[in-house]
Formats: sequence, structure tokens, C-alpha cells
Amino acid sequence: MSPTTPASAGPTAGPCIRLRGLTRVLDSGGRPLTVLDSVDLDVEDGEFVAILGPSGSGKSTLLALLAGLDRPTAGEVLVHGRPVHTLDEDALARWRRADVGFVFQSFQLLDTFTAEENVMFPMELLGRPGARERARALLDAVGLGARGHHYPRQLSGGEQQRVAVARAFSAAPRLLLADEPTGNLDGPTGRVVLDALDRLRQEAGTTVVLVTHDPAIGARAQRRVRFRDGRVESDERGASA
Amino acid sequence: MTLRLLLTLVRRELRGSAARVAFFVACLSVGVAAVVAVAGLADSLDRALRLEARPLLAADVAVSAQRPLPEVLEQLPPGLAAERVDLRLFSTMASAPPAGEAPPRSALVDLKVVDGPYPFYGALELEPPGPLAAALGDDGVAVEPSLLGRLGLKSGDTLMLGGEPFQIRALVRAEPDRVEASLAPGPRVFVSEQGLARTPLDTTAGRITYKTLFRVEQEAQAAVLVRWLNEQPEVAAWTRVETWSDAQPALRQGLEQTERFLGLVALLSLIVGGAGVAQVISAWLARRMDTVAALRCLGLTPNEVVAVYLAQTAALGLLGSLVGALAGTLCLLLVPGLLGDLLPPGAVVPWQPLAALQGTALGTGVALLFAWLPLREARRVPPLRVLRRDVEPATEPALPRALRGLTLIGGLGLVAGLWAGSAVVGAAFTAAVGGVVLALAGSVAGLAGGLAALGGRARSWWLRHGLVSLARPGAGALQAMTALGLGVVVVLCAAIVQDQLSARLGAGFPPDAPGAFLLDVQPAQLDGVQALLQAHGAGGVKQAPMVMGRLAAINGETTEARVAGLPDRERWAYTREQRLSWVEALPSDNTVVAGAFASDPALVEVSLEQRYADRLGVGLGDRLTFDVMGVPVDLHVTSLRQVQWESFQMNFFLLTEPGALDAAPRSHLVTLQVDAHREDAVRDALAADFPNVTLVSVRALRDKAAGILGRLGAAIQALGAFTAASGVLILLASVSARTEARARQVALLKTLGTTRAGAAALLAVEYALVGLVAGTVGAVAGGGLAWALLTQLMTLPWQTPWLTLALAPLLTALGAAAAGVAGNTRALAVRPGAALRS
Repeated sequence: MSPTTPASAGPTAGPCIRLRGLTRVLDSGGRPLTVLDSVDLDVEDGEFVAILGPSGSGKSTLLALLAGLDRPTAGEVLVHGRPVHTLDEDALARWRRADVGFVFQSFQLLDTFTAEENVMFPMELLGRPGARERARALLDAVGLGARGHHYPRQLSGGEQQRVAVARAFSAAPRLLLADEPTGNLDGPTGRVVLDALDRLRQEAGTTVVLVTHDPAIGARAQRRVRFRDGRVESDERGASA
Repeated sequence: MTLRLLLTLVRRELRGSAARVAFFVACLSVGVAAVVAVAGLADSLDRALRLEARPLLAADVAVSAQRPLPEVLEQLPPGLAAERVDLRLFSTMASAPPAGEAPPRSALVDLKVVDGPYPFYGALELEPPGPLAAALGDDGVAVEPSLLGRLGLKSGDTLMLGGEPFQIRALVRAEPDRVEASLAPGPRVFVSEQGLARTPLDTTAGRITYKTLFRVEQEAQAAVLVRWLNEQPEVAAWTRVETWSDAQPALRQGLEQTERFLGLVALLSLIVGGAGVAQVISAWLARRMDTVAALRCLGLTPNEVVAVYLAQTAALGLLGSLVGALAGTLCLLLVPGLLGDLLPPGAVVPWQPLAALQGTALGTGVALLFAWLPLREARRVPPLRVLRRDVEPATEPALPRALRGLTLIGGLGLVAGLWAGSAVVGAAFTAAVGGVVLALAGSVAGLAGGLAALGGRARSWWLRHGLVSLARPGAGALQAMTALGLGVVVVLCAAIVQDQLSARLGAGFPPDAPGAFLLDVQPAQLDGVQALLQAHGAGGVKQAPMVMGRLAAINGETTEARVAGLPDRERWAYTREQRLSWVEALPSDNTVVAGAFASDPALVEVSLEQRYADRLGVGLGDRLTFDVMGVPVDLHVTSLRQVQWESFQMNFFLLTEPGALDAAPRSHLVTLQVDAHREDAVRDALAADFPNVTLVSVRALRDKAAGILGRLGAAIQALGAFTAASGVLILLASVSARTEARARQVALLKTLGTTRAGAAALLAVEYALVGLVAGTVGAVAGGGLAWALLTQLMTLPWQTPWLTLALAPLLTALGAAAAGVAGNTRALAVRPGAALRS
């Protein structure tokens, strides 16, 4: 298959993601709890970054802020130069449908859609022609070409997650966010999912930010950013040992 | 998002969840079926009543006046096809033919001059049987049997009317529209128009009532005709236009109460349906929260999410409503079989397109209206939920929430108003429902909080959990209790009103209602008449003294001055001759509603029947002057009474205290019960010993009215039971709609080592408590509402149904516990893993 190159143009060139002084304070039973503390981070276009850290380190919050699912207490989130933290819900929705793909720990497939319809949906939402053909090609690419007419509950966890990966790439987003994509899967199944994700990423040149607590998964990324207590603890590039 | 994509989404959303769609459709359709069936039944009942009550007027519409009727009646507008018959009624003297020296015996008779195919409805029973016109010809008469004895004549003899001889061709055994028989001056005599023309009577008679009866070809045209008549200035100005519902005052009250009840039932079934729909929709949406969050992540704006679910609700609502309308129609098909001979054949019309259409529109409208609140919640589902399941929708600021509440209330009022066809009813209904909901929510919150506080100290863990869960935030228990409580209000209210109204109308018909009246019994004859009646086996003999008088002045203003410019039909209340009577104490079927009877020793007092007082425009403290045989008598109004006319007992508009009318010439009105086969013997004996006394039989009429009232009672019972049953059904459905959300909790409990019995006990306690709180608050509110409806709207006496009120909370608790456990059977049965993974 030959995925189209990311098409939607951002307001400016430069790094894909630029975080400046990103802070998120939660109200935890009346006491303020700083989950993210003045984080600065840049991610280049086409980079595959793993965000690592123990639970409670702030990595999932970072992902939520990146996707505009949550709002920072202070600081900036620029994605392709777009100030995500200032967008309203409608603008966020339009941005996400065109530019952002998601893979979640709990799959989040639409349970009343078939696998194929799940993959088609982001393209349908954008009114793109040929959605069905591209959905079939994507399902083929993740090894589920024969399961397109199955409903999510008829698929195994690993299969569901591969459908989710295909869906995440279907609108050819420039940025893909993955939250513990193998967290609900066993080792071998998780590897199949990650292989699929990696292959599609390379073909499309998509920037991927993947959150995980598992160093083995982080090892597959080009860059690993470790979080602890809401701060960046380390940031290393290149294949890990 | 394009419309096509929207529809695709809706289709996909619905397709994958056939079971849930079926459940939603089932719940909604029960509500709509109830509404359609109730509307259809109400319509059928209305038609049945008309079929049954028309004979009391012998026509669909009657127009009458004390002078010749306006010529405009000769030409009905095109499109209004109606048959007519003209009648003239007046009293005159009839006598036996002169024979020898002695003056012939004579009597005052109540003449009815017939020109046309009288009667249109009901049977005029003649002896020998045959059509009236054939019997009368131009020299015949048909007479009531009591006339024969008084004049010493027999069938076939000659009767002198206006100096001309007529042959008695038939005896009148029953006359359909002789309803105010006790007001008649004497026995009935029928004569044809041609017959009357042979006499000079139409120029010499004093007070002639001109009456035209109409029969329309289609039922619906009766209302059109009445409207047209009232639009004619002359008709409106000085004639009386009556329809069947005006024909019989004893029935009117029952009919009005029944109509109000029917309207109430339709509105109540609407709330039950609405509450069920709201519960089902919010349960449905609660389960779709994850999907909503995922859709938001995939780039749907909040408005697009609302659009998707609104379209979904509309589609489901339409489907449920169509199924419901169909089910309601099928219910109506079953009605004749279920109600047996309760309704006359042809009264039930199962296929009522208008009711079905209304029901469908209503169901869809109610679904959308009630979906509005939870749908707005969908708008607020944070997409963050895809990462953290426990994220709940943010609370909305107070102002928009209040505005939404107002929108819902306004919408409800609009629907109710459209349904009832009256803005006032819509507003009143909405205010009542709003008040009940507020009261319910308030008291439920208070009670639940109290119980939960107690629960912290409970010994057994399941009781503790059950109690505490009542007030746990986000569990939806408060919402469920309010909805359940509203349902209890509806069911109880329908049941109580139904019970008391039907008992009153049906079984309440008194066995001692008189079957005949004696008119014109002189004081000196009273003892003799009573002895004669006793000797002939007549029972239930009651008598009342009676003085005739005309209203001469009100507070010194003469009646002439007062009626000048009034239309005839209003004038009649002032100018007709009135019967005044007196009693020591009021009979039991009279209730004083204002003032006190015979309470002021300084005044000569009178007590007025309330409607009569309203018609005259007088009240407490007013002074009425009556002209009794030329002597003015001043009477002071010191009390107003309500009379149960359906008791069929002798009753008077005007009751004075004893002594006020002692000087006036009086007669006595006697009522009695006598078996049909003895009636003629009594009549003959009276004619022999007391020739001036007239016996008027009202047995046929009484039995007819008793039949109608009985049917009203039974029909109300059936409708009330139906509404209550469908309410219970919907409530159970909505309780189990909520249970699915608990499946995870059950699974978790089982994982933590709770046995199935333990988990079931926990659920049972929780739902039983929900039911107990909702049932208690609902019973109080429902009882209160029923009390208000019965005593204020229907003006009926109230008996507190203690047992029903006491059982309601218990039964609600039992039902809720059963529905709660039943709704979780699957979760209780399966291995917890499956539920936890999903």
C-alpha cells in the first residue's frame, strides 16, 4: 500500500510539537497536586518518541494535554505551531479529525461499527472519497484483511487494537498519540500491534508520541523521554540497549 | 458533518445493539400504546354515551323557545344534512264527551303536538304497538294511562280536546324524552298537527313551548349544527339549544366527572410514558458515554455529538411510537371482548387514525423532549474519558441548567396543552407536575440522606451498603427515586380517583330511587293516598310539601327589570314557576357548601341549590321575593347546597325553613317505588279515589340512567386500571433499564468474594430502599393529588384509602427489588471476568 503523505498544513513550519512551561495542577480532595511541572519539550516532525515513567509520573496527563483533551494550568502546547491550549472545543474537534490519530490502552473502537467502518470513519468525517478502499488496504496492512465485517466484540483484544491502529492512520494524521497501546495485551500480541504501528508510521512518516511504562516498548522508539514526579528526568535518542 | 454521514452514523449506532434498541422501543411503545388506547377508549366511551343518552332527548340536537322558532331554522346551511320534527307543547283541559246532565269529567293534560317522525331516538312505546303517526291520523290521540282513570274512559273512547272529539287510539307506556316528568302539570296526550288544526287551541292556549328536534346523519355534525345554531343571532338570542348531554341533569354531573377523568387519565398516561422514556433514554446514554468520548477524540464537535444522538432518539422515538400506536390499536380491538356488554355494539372504533397519529407524534415529541436533558449531558462528556474512565461530565453552571429545566417544563406544558386542547389545562398540568416533581425531589433527597446517615451504623454489610448507596453521588439513585415516585403518584392517583368515582357512579346508584311520582296530592288527601299506596304494596313512600311561586324580585329589583334584554333561555330561570318546599333538616344527599341552613332566627330563610343560584346570579345575603298566589313572600338566602341529583330522590332548588309558607295553598309531591306489574293497579286505584292525583312513572327513565351511570363507573374502572397497570409496567421497565449500569459492580463484588446470594441481597436491599422511599413520598403526593382532583375538580366527597396508601410503599419496594434483581440476573449468573473486561 502507499499511504498518502500527511496533507494538512499547519500554520507554521518548525518542530511538530513544542511544549513550553507546561504545568498541570489537579485538585486532589481540596489539596493542589502538581502532575506536570513546567515541562519544556520539542518533538521534530516524523520523530517516534516514547514517554516513559512510573504511574503517576504525569505521562498520561502530558498526552491528554497534547491532544487537547485536557487544559494546562499554565504553559503552552504548540502542535505544528498551533496553540492547542487556546482552541475551543469545536476548533479542537476539527483539528483532531484532520491532524491527530489516537491509539488507546482500552482500544475504544465504536462497538456498533464493523472493523472496516471503524477504520473508514475518520475519512468519512473528513468527506474523503475512497474511504472503503483505503480502509480495506489499511486492514490488510495490519493483517486483518479478512475480518473487516466483524464487530469489535467478535475480535480478540490484539485484533481490536490492530483495528484501532489502522483507524488511527486512516485519515493520514500528522501526529499519532498512543496511550499504553499494549497495556491490555500479552507480550506476543502486543508485539504484533507495535509492529503494525511501526510499519504504518514509517510508510507515512507520521510523528508518534507513545506513552508507556514498559522500557521494552520504549526501546523500539527513536527517542525516550523519562518522566518522574511531573518533570522530565531524562531524554535520550537513538536505539536503546 | 453532512446529513448523509449523520444518518450513516445513526444507522450504525442502532444496528449493532438490537437488544437495547428493542428494549427502548418496548418501553416507549408501552407508553404510546397506553396513550393511544386511552384516547381511543375515551372516544369510544364518549360515543357509547351519546348512543345511550340520545334517547333522553329523542334527538341529536333540540331547539326550543316560548314563541315560534325563528325561520332561519328552516334552511340549514348546505353540507349539514339533518332531519327535523317540529313539536309544540302546552297544557290544556281535556274532558270526557258530554253525557246527560252531569258536567263531563275533565283534567289538565300535557299536550304534545307532533309533526313528523317523532322520536328520532329511543322508543315511544304504544299499546297497541305501532307508529305514532298512524295512530294519530287527524282525529286520534295517544294518552298516558293515568288519564283514562281520571276521566273514566277506556281505549277507543272519545276524548274532547278544544271542543273537538278525538278517538283514543293508543296508550303511551313509555316516552323517551319525558325527563322532567315530576314537573308535568298532568298526563301526556299526543296529537298530530292536523288534529290540532281542527281545534282553536293553538290560538287560545297560554304558554306554548315550540320545539324542533334534529337528527344529523353523521355524529360529528351534531357539534357543527350546534355551532351554526349558536351563530344565528335570533337562535342565540331567545331559544334554548340542547344536546343529549343537557337532557338529563341527573346524568350531566356524572358525564362531566367522567369527561374530566378521561382527560386526567390521558394526561397521566402521558407522564408515565414520559417518565419511562426519560429513564430509558438516560440509561441508554449512560451506556454510550464511552462511545461519545471516542467520537469526540475522532474529531466530532460537541454539537455534532448531540446531533447524532438527537437523530438517534428521534429515530427510536418514531419507531417506538409506531409500534405503540399499533399496539394501542390492537388493545382497542380486544376491548369489546374484555368489556363485554359494557359498551353498546358499534361504540368501539379500533382504527382511529387521528388518535394513532397523535400518539405517534406525542411519543416522538416526548422522547425528544425528555431526551433533551440527558443529551445535553452527552455534549458535556469529556473526551478525556478515553484515557481515564472515571472522568464524569463537568457540572453545568446553574443558569444554563435552570434554562434547560424551564425549556423542558415549557415543552411539557405545550405537549399537555396540545393533547388536552386547552392552554389552561396545559399550564395547570405542568404546574402540578412541576410541583410534584420538586416536592418529590426535595423529600426524596431528605429521606435518602437520613437513611444513608443511619446506614453507616448498620450491622450487616449488605444493609449498610444498600443504605449508603442511596445518597452516593453519581449513582443515579436520586434520579431513579424521583422518577419512580412520580410513577407511584400517577398510579395511585389514577387508582384512587377511579375507585371513588366509579363507586360513586356505578354501585352508588341508590336502590331506593323512586320509580314514580304523584303530583298534586292535596294536604287533606295525604293520609288517604299513603294508606292506598301501602295497601297496593308500594314502598319507599316519601312526600314533600310544595308551594308554587314566581320570582318577583331580587333585592327589591323586579324580575321584569332584570330579565329585560336577556335571551329567552336565560330568562327562563327567572320567569318559570318555581316549586318551593321546606324541611326541618336537610336530606343526606344535600351538602351545604356556603353559609348554614336555617341558622338565623331573625330572618325567613331559604337555601338555594348552587347551580340554580349561579344561574340567577344570587348568593348568600341576597333577598328573593316570591309571588305566591298574589302574595309577596320575602326569603333571605342563608345557605347554598350541592345536590346529588344522581340519587334520583325528590329534590328542590329552593328549600325554606318550616313555617315560612304556612299561609300559602300547598300540595304534596309524593315519591314511591312500585313494581312494574302493580303500577297499573295503583294508577287505577288512585284514579278511583283521588281523581285529581296524577301518577307519573319514571321507572324506565331511572333504569336507563342507572344503566348509563353503571356503565360510566365500570368504564372508568377499566380505564383507571389500564392506566395503573401500564404505569406499573413502564416503571418496572425503567427500573431494570438502570440495572445494567450495575453489572460491573456486581462483577466486582463477586470478584471480591461475594456469593451470588450476597450480591443479590445487596441489590435487593438497594432497590427495595429506592422503592420504599419513592413509594412513601409518591403515596403522600399521589393521595394528595387524588384528594385535590376529587374534591376540587369533581366536587365529590373524599374517603381516605388508608389501606391503599399504606400498601403503596411496600408494593413499590417489592416491585423495585424484584425488577432490580431481575435486571441483573445475567450479571449475577455469568463469571465476573466477562463483565469486568467489557
